[in-house]
Amino acid sequence: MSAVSQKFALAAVRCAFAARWLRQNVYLAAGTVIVLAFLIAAVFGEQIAPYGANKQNLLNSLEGPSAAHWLGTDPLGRDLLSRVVVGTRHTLSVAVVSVFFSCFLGVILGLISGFARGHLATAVDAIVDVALTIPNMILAISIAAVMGAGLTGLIIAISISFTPPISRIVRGRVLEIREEDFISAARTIGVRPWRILLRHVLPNAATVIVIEASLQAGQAVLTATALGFLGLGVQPPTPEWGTLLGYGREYLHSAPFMVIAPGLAISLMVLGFNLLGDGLRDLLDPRVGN
Amino acid sequence: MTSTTHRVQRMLVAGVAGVFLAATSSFAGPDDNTLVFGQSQSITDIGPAYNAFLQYPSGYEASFVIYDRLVTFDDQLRFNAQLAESWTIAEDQKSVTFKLRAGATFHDGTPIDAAAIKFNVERMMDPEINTTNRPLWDPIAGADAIDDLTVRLRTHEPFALLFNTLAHGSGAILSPTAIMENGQESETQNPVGSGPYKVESFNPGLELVLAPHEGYWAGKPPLDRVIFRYVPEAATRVSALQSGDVDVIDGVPTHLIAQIESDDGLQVLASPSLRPMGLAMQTTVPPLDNVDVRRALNHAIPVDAIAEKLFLGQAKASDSPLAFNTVGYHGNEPYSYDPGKAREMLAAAGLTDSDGNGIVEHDGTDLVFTLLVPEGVFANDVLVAETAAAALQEVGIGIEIRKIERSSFWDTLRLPVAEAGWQIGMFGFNPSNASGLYHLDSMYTSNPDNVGRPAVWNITRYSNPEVDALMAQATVTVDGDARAAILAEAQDMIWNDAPYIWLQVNNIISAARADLGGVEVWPVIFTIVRGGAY
Repeated sequence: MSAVSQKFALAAVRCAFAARWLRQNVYLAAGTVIVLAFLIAAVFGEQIAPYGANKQNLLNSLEGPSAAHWLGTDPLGRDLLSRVVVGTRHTLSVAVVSVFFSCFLGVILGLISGFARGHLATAVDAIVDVALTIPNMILAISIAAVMGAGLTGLIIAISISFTPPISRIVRGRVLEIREEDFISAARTIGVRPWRILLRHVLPNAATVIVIEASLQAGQAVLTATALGFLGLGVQPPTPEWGTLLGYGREYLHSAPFMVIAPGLAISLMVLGFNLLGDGLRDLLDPRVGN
Repeated sequence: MTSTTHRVQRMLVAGVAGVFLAATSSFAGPDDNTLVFGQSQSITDIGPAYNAFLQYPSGYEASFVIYDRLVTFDDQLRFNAQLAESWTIAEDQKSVTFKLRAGATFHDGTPIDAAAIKFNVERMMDPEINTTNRPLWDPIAGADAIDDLTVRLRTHEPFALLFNTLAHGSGAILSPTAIMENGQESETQNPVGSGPYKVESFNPGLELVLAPHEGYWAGKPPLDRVIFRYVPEAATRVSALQSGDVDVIDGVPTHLIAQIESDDGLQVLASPSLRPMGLAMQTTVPPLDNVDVRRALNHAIPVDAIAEKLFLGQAKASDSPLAFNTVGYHGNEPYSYDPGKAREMLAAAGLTDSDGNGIVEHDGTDLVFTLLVPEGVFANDVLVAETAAAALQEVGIGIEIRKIERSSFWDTLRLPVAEAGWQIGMFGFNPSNASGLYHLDSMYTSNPDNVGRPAVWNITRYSNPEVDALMAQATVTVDGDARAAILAEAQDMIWNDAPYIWLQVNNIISAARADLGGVEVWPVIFTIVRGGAY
């Protein structure tokens, strides 16, 4: 191979690396910025919002976007921007808390079904298999309908409906890891199964779990707002994106800005979590991009 | 978008059936002389007894097309003859003799005679069969067939509301032959009446298709088909009307009126309702047992602003327990919107905010009421509740809104006091027989058991012996003016005792194609398509 072509090849490889690095970081950076922005809105919602989220003014009802009300007002004259900003806390906390719980449960079930043998693993597998056959939206609707509208019901509904897929992903990773030489080595020298699971298997499965969790967060936002849209979200007058969207659909012709405000917020938050998840995968998962 | 989806679904269905239909217009409109009514509630049964048109008002609306009654209302709620041609009231006012229309037949071809009327009246007097509308029929003592076309109805006492009962949906006359052949409960799914259209097919909860009754006593009906179809979403109903999928719709929200009015091919049909909306207060629960507290809350709500801004003028602030157009209505001095006065009255009743958190204390703890509201049962129900909650919080009353699924709403309203879980609840009574007496009696006569389930609709557990006496007196007063005077006195008392936070009376708003005539909107919230024609 000539020196010139060697140079070209090197340059090409460098370019590919640079492109990959940029792509990883653009996704990661964009995702992080969006999620951070929502996090700030969730924590400081009341301080950031230009008006009180529940401050009514019947004289200003259904006004279109203006300098005073950037996203317009609802039929009770409440500022939609303020309601969307203050509503962030609800949706974000539902997403984060329910993904935390579903990961916690999913990891335990996944580790058991992937690592243990015998009746326990079979039983866990069977339960997860059955749960996977029920579409998670249907599962969430049924649970929320039984629990009634409210935060607790919503979190339980989403946590339970998201557990089976996470458990399945963790199981797959555990099945791979447990065939590795270092696991056999650990077994040979008599390390206890629980220790192997916690010290060797779990850390190696962590990447998959982190990536899956951030992708699931986006799904959780969609499920939470969908339940709100169907009237299973929160009690009025709490601003919640799905409820705002559901309420706005009656006004699609006369006041389309009623759905645009919460609709944009939902799309942006889902996009943020998905970019973050993709970025993390590119960065952490060695199998991607090779 | 929704109408497109609708269309695609229909085309699929038609394709499966092997019938290709290129355009949905062949389902509706004057081209094939069919009237499609897109209803906001579904129809699950269509008999006057048992569940009595369980879903409201859709079942009643269908029944007024399928059945005839002895007398009927017009759109001003005056009485008109229907199966009866004429009547005479006995001197002791305890019986009325009806002369029936000659030549009228049921959908099954059997004649409508005095025996058929007697059969139907006795059926509605049977508590096993008429489980829902008993208060309307209890005062009736019996019916006698005098000859083929003459029937006499007897009442225990002079009964002021006999005609209201006969014109009510439960006054429908069914074919005795069909009932005897198919069983008592056959009426709920397969009714045989004598109205201008008869049942061709019925898919409960989805669609009811009616075909003309060729032997109808007033001549062959003008339409080839009348179809009732359930379209739950208001915005979808309006789109369906605009695209020609349906010809008549009910339950038009006020903010969509402009959209319909801007379309030359459509007309808005509106009528003030007989249903005054209000927030029921549990008058046995402290501090709501104090009449001054209840009056104070009435001064806290900006009802005029709600009527003007939320309903865009399609509503009017109440000034009586009865709606403005109810027979016997008598206006009172409205409670002015005055938060300052409300605060003063609450303070005078011992409810003050001593810890400065914006909420008054009662017995040492913050006073917070649960406000029960359904979603999609009353016009703008949740929005009105949110406005009221904010206004009550303004005067120091804490409110937690409890929005409840519409299917469990009516039952939750009627729970015993201890189990209710709400102190303030949104409610509006619709006097479906158009009578102010029936309205006041159902809502304000003392319950026999004031902590259990209310006997009828006295969910506030309001109890005033003077009002009870006036109700009893009005029931046996046949003279209209004398009865109105008694009702006026009762309305004054109830208005001042304020068992409700009185809100607004809405207009009922329906819409139809502009070239469709004869559709009536009755103040009892029914949209009547019986006389529809292109």
